[in-house]
Amino acid sequence: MKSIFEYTRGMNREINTYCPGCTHGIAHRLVMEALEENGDLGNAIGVSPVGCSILAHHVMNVDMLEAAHGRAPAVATGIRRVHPDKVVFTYQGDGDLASIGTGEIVHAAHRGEKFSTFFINNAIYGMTGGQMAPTSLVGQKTTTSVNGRDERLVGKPIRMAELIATIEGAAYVERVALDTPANVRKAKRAIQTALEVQKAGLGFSFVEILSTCPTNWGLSPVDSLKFIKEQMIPYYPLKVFKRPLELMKESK
Amino acid sequence: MEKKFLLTGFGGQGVLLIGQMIAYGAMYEDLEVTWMPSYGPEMRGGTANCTVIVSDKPIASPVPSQVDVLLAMNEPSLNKYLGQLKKGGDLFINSSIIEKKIEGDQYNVHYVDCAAIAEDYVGSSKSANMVMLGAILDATKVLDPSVMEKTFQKTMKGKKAKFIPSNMKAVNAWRELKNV
Repeated sequence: MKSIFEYTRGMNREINTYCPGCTHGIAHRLVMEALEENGDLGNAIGVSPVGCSILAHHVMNVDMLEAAHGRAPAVATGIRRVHPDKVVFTYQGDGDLASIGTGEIVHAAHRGEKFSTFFINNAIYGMTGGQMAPTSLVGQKTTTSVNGRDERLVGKPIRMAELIATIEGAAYVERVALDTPANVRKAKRAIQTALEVQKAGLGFSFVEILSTCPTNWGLSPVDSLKFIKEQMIPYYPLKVFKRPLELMKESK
Repeated sequence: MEKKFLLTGFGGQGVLLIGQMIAYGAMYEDLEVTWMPSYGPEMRGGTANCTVIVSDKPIASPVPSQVDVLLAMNEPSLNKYLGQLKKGGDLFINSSIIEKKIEGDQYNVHYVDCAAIAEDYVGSSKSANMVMLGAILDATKVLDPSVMEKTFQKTMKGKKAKFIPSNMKAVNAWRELKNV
């Protein structure tokens, strides 16, 4: 019997401590599948963030470094410049990238660093106990916005993909989501495109991935997927914000 | 009098809460107390444990090398921490999920099927940790069990207050079942 689908060798199945319904599992798998399909599992170096996915290096079967909170793009800059032949990526959450790490990500894009960033946006701080993130939605209740995010006090959520797309050094910027099988397939293609852009030396690539946090949203796994569709996507549109001319010829 | 507890299990079993109840109870009895938690980054699961020291004199350090009482709510914790229990100490094993039995008589071993007691006697499967707390209080006699009423009133407010009656039943369950 011919095997048509196998679990990627890029994932260590025994050690997965993410919560039930967390889409980190899917996001990890898509990145690792893309690397395996390119034959790059032995050629990749990832940088994990601080957050729930601080444990990414337990699950992802590639060489990885941990960085201090928010500094993954700085660490990845060093790695990529010293190892120009390796495939380098950062995998970061919204606290790591959009809060403490806004300086690092903006300047990595600004310099056009040739690595890929996979940005997990779940509109909340997960590991630290469900506090409001820069990406939390107006009205969203979190442990530090108990009556719902008030835009008069703390402003509206930040749209990172849009922001990064304005920077010249960012060659490829797309936002995707993991709420439906169709969107998961699109997310995989975006990740593959990011890696292609990196390999072609075209500049910085950035994929924002709308994800769930059932534990801190206080929703069931199924309702969490609905939250992405009904609440997040209206504010965080799914689209390609920027794509290098060289890739424009391919229509996806 | 000084008693050192190491309470261990996985995240979500309510191990840290057991420690807090002992700590607050000791405060209500005007004893010195330290409570020190330790847990991994996981939001669910992972390891969780706390060290509680109860004393009638000021406590120099919250970090004991050996403890008088060890609670193991799951087997990996039992394996990991048994070495920290002093000889002759009290060992509480959650026999609802731990099948391992301890050979020899170097420890006072108490096998507590807390999940079954919680489900059948108390009528609330989620109070297994409180059943275990009751077993610990009964065997070590470190606190008067009636002080739990005060600690529950203090810590379970608002929406949580409705759990106080079942938690009181759970914390008394081990002692009551022994005398049956």
